[in-house]
Formats: sequence, C-alpha cells, structure tokens
Amino acid sequence: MARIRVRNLVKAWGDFRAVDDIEFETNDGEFVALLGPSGCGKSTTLRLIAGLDQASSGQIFIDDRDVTQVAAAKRNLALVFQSYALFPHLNVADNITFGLSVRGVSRAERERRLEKTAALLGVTALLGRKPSQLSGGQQQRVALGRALISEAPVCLLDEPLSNLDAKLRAEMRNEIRTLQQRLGITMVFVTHDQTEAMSMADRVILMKSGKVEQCGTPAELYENPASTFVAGFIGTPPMNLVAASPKDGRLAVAAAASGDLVLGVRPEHIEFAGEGQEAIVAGSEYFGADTVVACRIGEQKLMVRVPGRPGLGTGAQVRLTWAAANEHAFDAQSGLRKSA
Amino acid sequence: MSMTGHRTMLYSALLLLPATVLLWVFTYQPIFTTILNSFYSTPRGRRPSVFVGLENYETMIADPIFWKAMTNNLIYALTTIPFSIALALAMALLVSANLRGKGLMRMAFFTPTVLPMVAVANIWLFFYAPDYGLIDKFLGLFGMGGNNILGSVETALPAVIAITVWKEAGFFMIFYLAGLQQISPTLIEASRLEGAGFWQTLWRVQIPLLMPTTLFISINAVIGAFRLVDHVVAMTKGGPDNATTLLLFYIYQNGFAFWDTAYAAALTVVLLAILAAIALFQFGYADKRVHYR
Repeated sequence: MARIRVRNLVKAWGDFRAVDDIEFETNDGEFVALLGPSGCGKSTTLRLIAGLDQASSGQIFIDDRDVTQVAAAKRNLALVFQSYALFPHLNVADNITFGLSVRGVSRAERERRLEKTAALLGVTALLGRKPSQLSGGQQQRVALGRALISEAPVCLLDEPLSNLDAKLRAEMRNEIRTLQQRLGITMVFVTHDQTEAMSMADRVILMKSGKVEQCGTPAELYENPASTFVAGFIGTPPMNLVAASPKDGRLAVAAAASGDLVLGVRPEHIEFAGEGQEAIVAGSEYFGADTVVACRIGEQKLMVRVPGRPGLGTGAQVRLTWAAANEHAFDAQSGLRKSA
Repeated sequence: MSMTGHRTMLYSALLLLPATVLLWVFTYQPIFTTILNSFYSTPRGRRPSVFVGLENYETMIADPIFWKAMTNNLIYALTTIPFSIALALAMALLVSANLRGKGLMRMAFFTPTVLPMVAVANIWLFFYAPDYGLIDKFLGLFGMGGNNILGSVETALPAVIAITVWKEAGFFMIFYLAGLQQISPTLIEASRLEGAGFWQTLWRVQIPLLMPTTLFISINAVIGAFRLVDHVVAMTKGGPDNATTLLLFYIYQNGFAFWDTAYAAALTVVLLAILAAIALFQFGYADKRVHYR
C-alpha cells in the first residue's frame, strides 16, 4: 500500500507558476480528488507526481521514498490519461499487456494477469479488437485495464470521465470507486467537476491558481469552506456570498453590494418564513424535486432552494431565514473564513 | 435521355478533355508506342523498321551487359532504399527532439535535396578524386591513399550508392518529421510510463505508427532507385567496365549513344514492368497492412 506526500512542490515556466508551493499527503488506499477550475494546476500536479514533468523545486514521496528525481517508469505507479492514450496499432490485449511485455514478464504470467484484469473490467470479449473499434466507455475500461494490470499500489487518473456521456459517466463513477475499494489501491484523480469529486472521493484537494485552497473530506469542504472560493465552488447551486453587516450577534444581508464582511449561506439552508429578512422574488427555476428561487435584497441576489413547487411569482414579497449554524462569515478582502 | 442529361454529359466530357489529352499525349501514347516499337527493328538509313517479334527480347536475354545492369540496379535499390530510409528516420528523430539549433540541423539535412543531382555529382567528384580528393587525402593521412574510388570496379557502385543515400535521406526526413508530429505525445508518454525506453518506444510505438509514412517513402525510394541516374551520367558513364551501369542508364546509352532505339524500347518495357509490379505490390498488398485506423 502506498501513501503519496507532496512537499513545497513548485512547477514554474518562466515567471508563471503553474503549481505554486503546494503540500498535501494522502493515506493508504485513499481515493483523492484533485479538484479545481481549468488552469488551476491540478493536471500539472498529477503529471509531476507521475513523473511526466520535472518539478522546479520541492519533493514528492511515495511511501516515504523520495521519487522527485526518479523516472516515471520507476515510480511504481500507473496513470490513466485523459485521452486514454491507447496504442492505435495494438489490439486490446496487447494494449493492456504493453507494460508487462516491455518489462519482460513471461508470456504465461502475462496471460494469467490479462485474463484476471479483463474479467475485472468486463472487456474479455473485446481483447482482439483495435481501439478504433471500441466505444468511448470501452476505451476507458481498456485504459483502466492497462493501469491496473501493473498492480501498482498507486493509480493516477487524469479527468477519467470527461470524455464520456452523462449516463456512462455515472456508471463509471461507481465502477471506479468500487474497483479502488476492492483492490485497496491509492487513487488520485483530477477533475473539474465538483459533483464527481464530492461523490467519489475520500478526500478532496481543491486548487486555485496553483495553490491548495482547501484539503479535506467532501463534508468538510461543504460544511466548513475555508474561503469564499471554496464556498462558491462546491455545491449546486453554490453558496450565496453576499455583503453583510453584523446584527444582534448574527449576520444580516446588507442592501449595498459592498462591505468588508461577506456572508455565506447555502441555498438549501434558507427557508421562506413568517419572519426574517425581507426579499423580493426575481425569478425561479423548477427542477422537479425542488425549485431554486432567485431573491433580491436591495441590490444583492440570493438563491433559495426549496422542495417542490413554492408557487411564487416574480415580484412576490418573501421573508428569508436560516439557522445560525449554517451561517458562514468571510473577510471581503482576503476571502478567507472568519473564525467566529 | 433528357436535354439536360446530354448537357451534363457534354460539360463533363469537355471538362475532362484537357487532362485526357495531356495524359494521352505525354503518358499513354508514348507507353503504347514504346511497347509497339519493342517488337520492331531499329530503322537505319534507308532500311525502314520491320516487325521482328520477340527478337529484341531474345537479344536482351543473351546480353551480358543487360544482366549486369539488372544486377547493379538490384544492388543499388536494395542498398539505397533501406539506408536512406533508416538515415531519414534517424535524422527526423534527431531534429524532432528538443535540441538547441534544431532549425539549423533541419536545414543542413535538407540541403542535399535542394541541390540538383548534377551539382551534387560535381561536389562528390571532388570528394572521390584520387590523390587530391577529400576522401583520398584523408585516407592518405593513414598511409592508405592512392585510391581511385570511382575508377575501380569494386568501389565505383558503392560510391554512387553513397551519393544517392546522401541525396535522398534529407528529402525523406521531411516526411518522417511530419509523421512524427502526427503521433500524439501522450502515446509516447504512456509508453515511457509503462517502462519502455527509447528503443522500445521507437520499435513498439513510433515505427508502427509511422508505417503509412514508410510506405509512401518506400514507393518514392523504389521509383528513385530506378530513375536517379544523373550522377551516373555526370560521373562514371556507367564505367568502369559497366560497374555502375544501371537499367535506366543502359536505356539512355542504347537509345541516345548507340541509337538502337528498338532495343532501348524493349529495355524500357522491362523497366516499366518492374515499376508496375512494385507499385501493384505496394498499393495492393502493403497498403492494406499499414493503415489500421
């Protein structure tokens, strides 16, 4: 089993720091998501761990072994590429056993492991086909097979689901998670989709502009966002972030959109009630199980998620209330959470 | 057929006409004339040509110089093709790597292609010259001078082969360079990550993926091996003792030096047959095996 530890990792191209002094550590057999918007350095971080790019400074440890200067092939890890990177001239069997064959594993051993891996991923019927004869989902399985057959304790996945359609994505999400738990390997996967990260990962590392914004379990990120960025990134729709002022030991939404205090409250935590702050309905979106109502307080906008169909027309007068525990305070300048 | 149908037919026929005329006049008609001429004798003075059947071909089979030219051409093809292709691939790999001054290298490798073959022959004539030539001078430093490279039966053909390889490799390199750039870098990364080193990646990933390029290049190389004789004309005139006589040069010699046009026509038919057979093999058989997408 393997732990990955990253210390003061930097990757710079000239003045641009794609990965800017990041630190994190994973546990044995953990499923970790590297989450962030495009260009935040998450894929670069994965490539550094894989050894496809050289770190400008900092260290990478796999199981307490410093692999920063070790060649990719000798790091004892597997990688699933975003584009799958299947060899178009080789059939599925040869693609999966490519690494074993290169490393001189005997034919009998190769056959044995191929059989096992193919069965695990359900690609046994496809072994004779070329990648061009496979669907996207099948290609994904073959790419996973090539990664898993090495039996490396660490498996890295670069946006593994981004090339699949919505239905297949949900299916593979489950399957990858099940595989990871069954094999007990450490998996690090890169994604820009917060739903994917929240639903699959044991731990989420949220990145922004080359830095780690927050690292924690999905629940921690949801319940205790470290900054307005995290608050705005996690959840659909994301947390409401509005200028606020203190009032009776609580926070109240200010009429103007400026101030040095930001109030964060999730749409699903706001309720329409007989008392609370006055607001005007500006529109609503109906999703079946629930409705997201956009409300206005002065020049500020808040989303409210309520079950069913509230039947509120545009311009309706409402009162908004939420529990004190669901109230988050952030500093408007730094965006950081204020410890209350 | 309706009026517009006739119109369309007429238009398409008219549009095809210029190309058809050009192809007929400059390609097919000469081929047919050549085949026809190969069954007639050469007209001399007041004797017009007469139908002789297969006599020209019988002469050919009995002609030792024809067999010498065929053997030479076979050796020439079997050496220039693999050597120039291997060298082209090596140069393409070198200049596609992230090296300082790769632009300069690309230009240097490509320069021989730009030079006319006759100019190339003149340059190499100096390299090969006995005593004061570059190569002989160099060998002289080790006490091995006094070689007439182009004048000896043993070394003349290899010398001509070396020039062809030098000239063709740069041209083929351009195609390999384009082919290498078509290969997704992630495939190379995947191969490296799976533990393949430089040679294994080259052998297991890059060369198979370059097969369409290799096929295209090999067709060109085969044609070149039967077509490139400028340097033979400029340097050795087939000598010494027909050591550098290639098929096309022998055709040229018979047709325009000995004015035996009928025999030259018969030789041309043989050359055409060889090229047609190779083209059929490459497009019919090899083509099916290299395209996998």
